[in-house]
Amino acid sequence: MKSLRIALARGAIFQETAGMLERLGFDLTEVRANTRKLIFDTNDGTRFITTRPTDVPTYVEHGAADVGFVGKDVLRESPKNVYEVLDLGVGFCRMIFATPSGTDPSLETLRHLGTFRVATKYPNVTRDYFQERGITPDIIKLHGSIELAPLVGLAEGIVDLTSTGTTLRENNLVERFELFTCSTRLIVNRVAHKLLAPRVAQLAEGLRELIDESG
Amino acid sequence: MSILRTPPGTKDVLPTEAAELRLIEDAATNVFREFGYGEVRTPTLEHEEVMALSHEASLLTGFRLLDERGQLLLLRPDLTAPIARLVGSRFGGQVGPHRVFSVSKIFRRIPEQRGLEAEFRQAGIELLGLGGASADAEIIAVACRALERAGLREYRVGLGQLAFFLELLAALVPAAEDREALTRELVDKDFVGFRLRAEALALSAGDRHSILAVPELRGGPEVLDAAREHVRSPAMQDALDRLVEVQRAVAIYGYAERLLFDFGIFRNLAYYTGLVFEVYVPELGATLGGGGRYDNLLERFGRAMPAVGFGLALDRVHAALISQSAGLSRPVPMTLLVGGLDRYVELAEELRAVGLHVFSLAEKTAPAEVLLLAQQKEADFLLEPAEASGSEWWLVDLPGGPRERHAGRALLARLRDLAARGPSGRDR
Repeated sequence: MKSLRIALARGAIFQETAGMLERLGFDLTEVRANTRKLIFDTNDGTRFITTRPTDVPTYVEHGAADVGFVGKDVLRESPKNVYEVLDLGVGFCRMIFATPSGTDPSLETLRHLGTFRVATKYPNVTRDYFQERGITPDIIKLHGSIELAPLVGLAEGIVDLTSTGTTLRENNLVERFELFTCSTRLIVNRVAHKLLAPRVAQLAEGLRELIDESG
Repeated sequence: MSILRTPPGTKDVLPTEAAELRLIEDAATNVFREFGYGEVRTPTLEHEEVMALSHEASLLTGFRLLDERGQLLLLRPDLTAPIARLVGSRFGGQVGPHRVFSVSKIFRRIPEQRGLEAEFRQAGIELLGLGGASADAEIIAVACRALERAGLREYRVGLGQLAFFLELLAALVPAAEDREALTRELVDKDFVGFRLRAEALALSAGDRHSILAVPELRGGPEVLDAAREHVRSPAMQDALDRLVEVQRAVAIYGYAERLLFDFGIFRNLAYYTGLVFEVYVPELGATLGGGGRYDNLLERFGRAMPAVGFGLALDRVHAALISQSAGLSRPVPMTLLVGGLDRYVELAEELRAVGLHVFSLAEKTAPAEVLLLAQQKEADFLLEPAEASGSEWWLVDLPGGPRERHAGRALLARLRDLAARGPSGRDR
């Protein structure tokens, strides 16, 4: 049977995911050493593809990779037709709503104007969350440094990922509430899930044992 | 930006692609007819309220328009619901079973930049009025034969049984909303969410194990044995026995080795009730088609009867054939005839009469243009007059084959010989 093609993201979740794969016997020496290369063929036939985190589900959905590792935040923002097989229990972070410290300016604006402005990299997640609660905020899509937006009057608040909260504090922002928590997921292409079932199951079982060991 | 673009998710189909698609469609429909299926054609537009009878929300999210009385119309969102409507309204006096097929365009709204089509052609068959395993097996066999007739070599049919898992839940999980939440996670392919929900339920260790394990069961016939240990009720035993029966019946048609058993197939159409199937090829990340048994659907359209059906996405079958570089050469060779349009029309007619396809050019076509056309039209043969009287001809076996000089009579015989060797065998 064909070996797996695995999509990995060079990003916040890379180290922990790579570590788990190495404990299962995969050889990631070159993947770790060479950050410019994008395709790595290892001796056991496994092919690693490295890409941006947000692109991992796309590669897997179209079958350019059989399996991939990606944060739940990415999957929730743009759902794809892939199997979500396993929660690796690593790469924990939280999707939060934050505003400048002091009185929450979003509540004031909501009271007077019936809406408020939220800056975020996650427009779908943000819209769904607030709409389920009867609010339709003006969503301002940004691509980075979201914390800046409320400081310069572009928005009243932000929806963003946080793990330690350091960036928020440094920019004088206060978390008002959490939307949901995220962790790294193993996703599988819907044809690979069937035609490469033993390999996929072996990988999922190996990872599950690692997760159970670390409790 | 050019104003001559087509809407997102749609495309024009040019002669090469169209000819290949036509071959696939002809192969499939010939097989359907061999099994006694009759063609039906339903309108491109359907009343939204009629499609809503399917209870399948995803069918109602497609392209809508209003007619002059303000009624909501839908562009055909799938093949099965319109056929259910047709059977409900038009087959009143007829005795079953009914075997029908349809080849039509399906329309759906798509998220932009996902590499999906908003309009695609599907070939579907429905066997109505028969509820047994032999009907399931026939549908699977017809699908396999259609794929092989089209030229596909490597493919597998994933065979699932919704009833097995649903009956397991019915036996173990008392609250309907819990059962629905669990199946919704599986339809969404979210095994993480499924596991979380299952672990939150008050269940014995063995029962929880069964709920978690059954959707993960997939593989060869050994999977049927593995499923046996999870049987909790006679209904589950029946569901499992059904799979064994279907496997036996499919074996008679010669397709048993194509089957993969998979208790994790949860096709997202609300109307499937038992067996479900999907077709895969290793080269493509998406399924080529699928189907299943929908015993409750026809009742909603006024004619209660069991039914089973299958749909093939013809564009994906095409893509799979291209990736396996299989079976797509043009069956009848095409001859480019210089002067066939004006001076040598009689010769063009003679060639057509012996079954060749002729692309006629004016006598005065410049030689450079002739070569370009031969290339662009992917012609198999080129005929040029060797002398103006038309008694002697140059015959070129394209592309780049030898030039032969033939007199009128010998020419026809020679061309017929070349044509008889069948499709040129060149990779297109």
